[in-house]
Amino acid sequence: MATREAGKKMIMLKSPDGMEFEVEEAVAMESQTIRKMIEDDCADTAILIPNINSKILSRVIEYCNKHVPTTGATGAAASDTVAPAALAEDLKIWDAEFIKVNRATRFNLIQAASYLNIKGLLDLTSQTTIDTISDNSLEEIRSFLSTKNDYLPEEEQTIRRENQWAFQ
Amino acid sequence: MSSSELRPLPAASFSGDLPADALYEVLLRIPAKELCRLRAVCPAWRALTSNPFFVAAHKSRHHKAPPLLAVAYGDDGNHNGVEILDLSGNVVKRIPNTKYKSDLMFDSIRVVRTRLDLICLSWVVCSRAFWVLNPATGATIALPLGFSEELEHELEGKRLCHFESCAFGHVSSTREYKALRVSSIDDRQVSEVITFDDTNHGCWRRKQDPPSRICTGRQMRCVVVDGVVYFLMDFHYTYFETGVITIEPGSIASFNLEAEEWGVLPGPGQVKRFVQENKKYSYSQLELQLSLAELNGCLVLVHNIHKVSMDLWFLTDFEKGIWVKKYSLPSHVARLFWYPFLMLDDGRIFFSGMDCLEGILSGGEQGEGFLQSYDPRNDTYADALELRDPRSICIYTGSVLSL
Repeated sequence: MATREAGKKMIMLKSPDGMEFEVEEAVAMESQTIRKMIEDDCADTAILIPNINSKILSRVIEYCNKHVPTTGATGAAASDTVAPAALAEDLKIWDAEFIKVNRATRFNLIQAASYLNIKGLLDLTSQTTIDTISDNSLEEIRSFLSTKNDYLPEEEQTIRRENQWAFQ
Repeated sequence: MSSSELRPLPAASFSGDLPADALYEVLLRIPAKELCRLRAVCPAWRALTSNPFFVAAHKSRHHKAPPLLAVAYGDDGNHNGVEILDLSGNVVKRIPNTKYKSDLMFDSIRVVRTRLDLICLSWVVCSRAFWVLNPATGATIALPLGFSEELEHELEGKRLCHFESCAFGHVSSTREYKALRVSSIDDRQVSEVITFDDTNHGCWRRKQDPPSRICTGRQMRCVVVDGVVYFLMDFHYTYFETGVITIEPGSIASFNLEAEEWGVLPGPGQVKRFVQENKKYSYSQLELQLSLAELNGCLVLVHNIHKVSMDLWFLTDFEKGIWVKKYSLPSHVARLFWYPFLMLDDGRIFFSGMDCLEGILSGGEQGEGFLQSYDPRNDTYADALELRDPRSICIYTGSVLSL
């Protein structure tokens, strides 16, 4: 156990509110942004992640931990006994649980996933919002996202006319 | 411990709960048509979905989305232009032609069958004059009418040179648009090439002659796939004159727009031997049965044995010349004047065609043409779109967001 731990390179991620998270490099590299920093040798042992608070960052790390491809002795053993389809099914159930969060947290997670460039997490977190936007009227979308309609009434009419086919 | 810092996030510039970059990610995942509706949410959403970087990112993410179509509209020389349609026939944009006039009073515009983010146009009667339209900017440019210098020299003292056919394509490695023009001097076919975009063009340049006689007269015998122009070779012409088959039926001449060179591609063996193995068919019938199409990015040789079956031969390996008969569609699809036009990712095939001979005889003026979708998996037809002229339609590959 100790040797395996020692064989893995660890990285320190720091949130702006002062929390530090020690994670395996492989887990941190689920983020393409961090991967690039490490590959370009721009990363020291600690990386400050601006604008992502510790609450959100811990959830992101939780996601990456779950989704990092398993390698090495334990990984090989796991994939010998568990079929890939079952693993994927297990991940799907885990994802569904993971995304049961309030709206503000979900929006913050989309933002974090976008910034850290974690494709799977981005797809997962943005889907609910995509569905809400696609299924509702413009008025409902505005109220759902508290978006102010800055159009003058005649401007909005023009935009609607220009894009009339999309309302059919 | 030393610490690296990532660049800070940009300040949110949108009103509302969803941070700007989260909004960007969400909108990027929404289909283009839906985004056009969402432009009416607020000016910031409209600005974002019209931004060229966003449009390019959206296009590459949704590259498998059903494409748009472009058709010509107008019934006289005064009011005409191009309509961009979705596959259900909704008009997305109408672009009137105010610049170009035919030499003839009652000529109409024809859209050349292409798959580009530019639209290539000519007149039905005065078919030698071509112009190119960029629907996103509205810019147009007319290609020069005259022949290349080399050809002009050759023509001195000779008889008339007839224009026969013009094909347009895009060379992805050099990002150039090129057109190939085939004309005939007496009995000989000659070819010229031009490089163009929506604001500029070069000169026609004389190239090698086609490897042997190619089919230029009728539509659907020529198609452009991935920067290569393909023509069916005219095996019947020499057979008609000499009674001997010197060109194998189904053979194809290819012109690589990047290298600007001709090549020859043998057709599927079964098509080549079709008349020998099916004594009730003649070479003249076989000639009418063959056409070319581009489906799913592949060159397809269509063998429409009318009222029996329609075989779709896909060229799966260009280098090795491997043809695979991926579909043999039933007799009710194998109709006269039905041509496969487009295949969607879900497997549906759109046919362009005319249902009766009158459509052909009237030059397609009465709207007998159509685009019909057919699902080979469950053998059913779905939406049909009426067309003025099924030979005057192209696939527009540009994003609806930039229109």
